[in-house]
Amino acid sequence: MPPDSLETNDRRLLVDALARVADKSRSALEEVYSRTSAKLFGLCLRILGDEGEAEDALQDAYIKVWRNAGSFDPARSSPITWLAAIARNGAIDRLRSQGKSRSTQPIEAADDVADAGADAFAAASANQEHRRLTGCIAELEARQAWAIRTAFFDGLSYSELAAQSNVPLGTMKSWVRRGLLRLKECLGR
Amino acid sequence: VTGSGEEERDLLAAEYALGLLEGDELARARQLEASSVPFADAVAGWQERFTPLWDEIAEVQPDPSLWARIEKRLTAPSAANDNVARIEKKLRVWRGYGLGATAIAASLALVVGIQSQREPPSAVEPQRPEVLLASLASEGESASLSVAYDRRANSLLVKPGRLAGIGGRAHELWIIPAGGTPISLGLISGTGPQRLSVGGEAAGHFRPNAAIAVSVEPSGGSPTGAPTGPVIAAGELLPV
Repeated sequence: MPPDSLETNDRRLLVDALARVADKSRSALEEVYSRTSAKLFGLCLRILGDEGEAEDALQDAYIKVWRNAGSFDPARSSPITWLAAIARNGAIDRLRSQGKSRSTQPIEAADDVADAGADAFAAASANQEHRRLTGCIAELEARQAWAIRTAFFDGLSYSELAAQSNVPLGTMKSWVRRGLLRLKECLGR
Repeated sequence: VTGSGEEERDLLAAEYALGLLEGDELARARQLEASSVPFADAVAGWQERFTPLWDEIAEVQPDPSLWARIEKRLTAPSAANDNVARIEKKLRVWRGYGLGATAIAASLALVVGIQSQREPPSAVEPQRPEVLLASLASEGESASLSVAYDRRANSLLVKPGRLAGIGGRAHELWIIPAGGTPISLGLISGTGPQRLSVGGEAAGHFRPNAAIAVSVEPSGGSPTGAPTGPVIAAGELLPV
């Protein structure tokens, strides 16, 4: 399977590069940057919605990679998961420290997302893992899928999700928690 | 419906990985991540489960000048970078005091986070200033407090900003001298400002750039005289 072997190769190259970043190799950090910055910039832009803010978040993310590469454990995380978590957490902290709220798709669009968006994406995706995950998300109730996807992509907290969909905090928590349990069960099948 | 303890833990890990938590719940998850390997594994597991969704994020090439800006921050002969190295060294000695690798990594991550936010000092500083201040924070500000040292009175004024209660356990304040072992400064409460007198052993270590940290300990404080629980906030003493 060419796509899988390519992915495996990418992963190995990133693991190697991160090991060299831990030894303070600047060229290794540049390699990590050139392989991942477009994805991480897209991710920061999605959460922050502002190019300047996203650039600052991206810079901070790679500085953290530089300093913390020694704590990356390839047995625990894939490199892209680890890198994305650093960028995403930094972008969310930046957003929350500003106390801004973003416009996200309203919950009324949840049915469309669950029925059309996710499925269309799943069908079109060449990535088997992505098809499997979106397939499981599509099995959730629309409001559960909406909450989980919005939290993931836009970095919304429980209280922000509850405010956006006009439900009490406890209701939102129980939607999400039931959704997460079902998702885990589906992925474990 | 409350599930088993294990299921609750796993859900908390998922909520934490997604960034849903705020306030006390966030602080609790951070403490768990720093102190419990199974919990940290569960968080990593949830991050991994969601990773395929990144396929849906379009790649956007950042401005070509951005790499140069990052590289400049790596190479700048900044005092901030030196401070990071120094604190890393100080914290390394904690390894011998029962802190796991995860807790050390978490401590370093938060110290590094603090360092990256501060400008390097520009002027030459006196070595024994009368008043020293430290702002202690965790990454993301889930815990924060300020500490002021008054050399004449040989006392500390501790003002909690955010310091969540931690059911039956205590917050203990430490000073970590360069290359030395942490020395307890006493237990602190999260409810209001409090004054602590500084013992003779600790007083000599109140110098600029000494690290101050807060760890979570059993009620009554660390039973060993050294930090035993996760470090939830750290900062450096600076002259006023």
